[in-house]
Amino acid sequence: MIKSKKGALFHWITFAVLGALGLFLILTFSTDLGVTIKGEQQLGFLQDFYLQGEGELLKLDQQASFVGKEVVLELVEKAGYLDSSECGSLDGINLWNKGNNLCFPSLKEDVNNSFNRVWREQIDETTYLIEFVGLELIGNTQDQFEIVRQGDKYSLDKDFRINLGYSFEEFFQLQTEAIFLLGTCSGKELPVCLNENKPIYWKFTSCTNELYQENEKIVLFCVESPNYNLFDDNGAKKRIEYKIGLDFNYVLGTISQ
Amino acid sequence: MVLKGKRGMMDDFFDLVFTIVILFFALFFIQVVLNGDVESKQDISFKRMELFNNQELFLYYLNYPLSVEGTEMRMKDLILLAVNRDSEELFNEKNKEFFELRGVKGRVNVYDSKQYEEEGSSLFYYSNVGFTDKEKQVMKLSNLGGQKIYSVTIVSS
Repeated sequence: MIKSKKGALFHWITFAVLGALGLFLILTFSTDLGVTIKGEQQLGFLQDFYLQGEGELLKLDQQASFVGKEVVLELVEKAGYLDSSECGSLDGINLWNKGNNLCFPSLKEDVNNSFNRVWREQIDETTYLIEFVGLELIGNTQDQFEIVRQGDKYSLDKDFRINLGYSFEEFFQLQTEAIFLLGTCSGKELPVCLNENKPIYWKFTSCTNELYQENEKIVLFCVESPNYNLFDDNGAKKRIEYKIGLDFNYVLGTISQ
Repeated sequence: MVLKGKRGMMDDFFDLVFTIVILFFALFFIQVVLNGDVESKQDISFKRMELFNNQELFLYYLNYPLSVEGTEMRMKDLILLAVNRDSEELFNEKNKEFFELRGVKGRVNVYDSKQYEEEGSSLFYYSNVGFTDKEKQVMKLSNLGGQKIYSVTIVSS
């Protein structure tokens, strides 16, 4: 042991060297001591899979909404049929009855078929089972989205449930009104009876230029939707218009379907 | 070797003081290094959480329900409708409603996707902040049926 001022100086030098070394390391050296980032795996999952999946579902909803509107416009134009009515047509407008034979469209089937046809034409090859409940359109499929990141795979169903802003059930309301008109006005002077009994939104021939026309007691109607509008491709609000033909060669009380 | 007397006591005392001081600095150094690592990792976690929250908020924004002329729709539909109508007024009105009602601060730009890829200007935007350095969220939506613009890119920050 050094016994003098010189000995004390050595202690100070040791201290200064250690201090300087420590300061140097603190300022320059970034040490990874193996402390893991908290929630790294969970946040990684949420960002790489969950958010990606939600983004895909959002796009899917938007596509379904577009296709759904196309289906509405197609079906109202054809009185609810995908193709032609079994009861025939007049001037390209499908009839809902032929005499006493009612042939209303099977809407569930037609909506499903029309949706899948438009979807295949405009979007992709996915096949959906389509249902409608109120304003909602629901599509179920076996197909899934798959998101793959670094060997991990995340799958989610490609199903959707959207608010279409229109209910196909409105067809049933119009069918009830059609039966009422057939029962009330068959065998009577048609223009007078129809004018007295048809709802205001039932227009003769055209929704814009209403004109009564009759062909062997077949009358064509343009029915403005009493409840719903859709926005067209230019963003303009457009009243939904149904094109329907009714055959008033109808005998009360002998309806067949 | 043992020093007896006052001088010996002083020498031992200084040894003790130096040992304590050195220990203090050594521990301080270790603590700073350890803490620095933990804090930097914590910062990464917080930043990632903030990013996730912003991304989730962006999805919430796009799915935000609203009503336009009596028709119920979502913000993403409203954006496409505003693009098809070329109506910045409609876009601003509904965005203001969202940002004010939800107490959100931020900025949303809507681009024609072509323009966005070419770094062109946005079709319209809404902002209630002067400048934001938050990470951008981007969503590309097909404008199916659109007459002029076939795809829009929505950028939020």
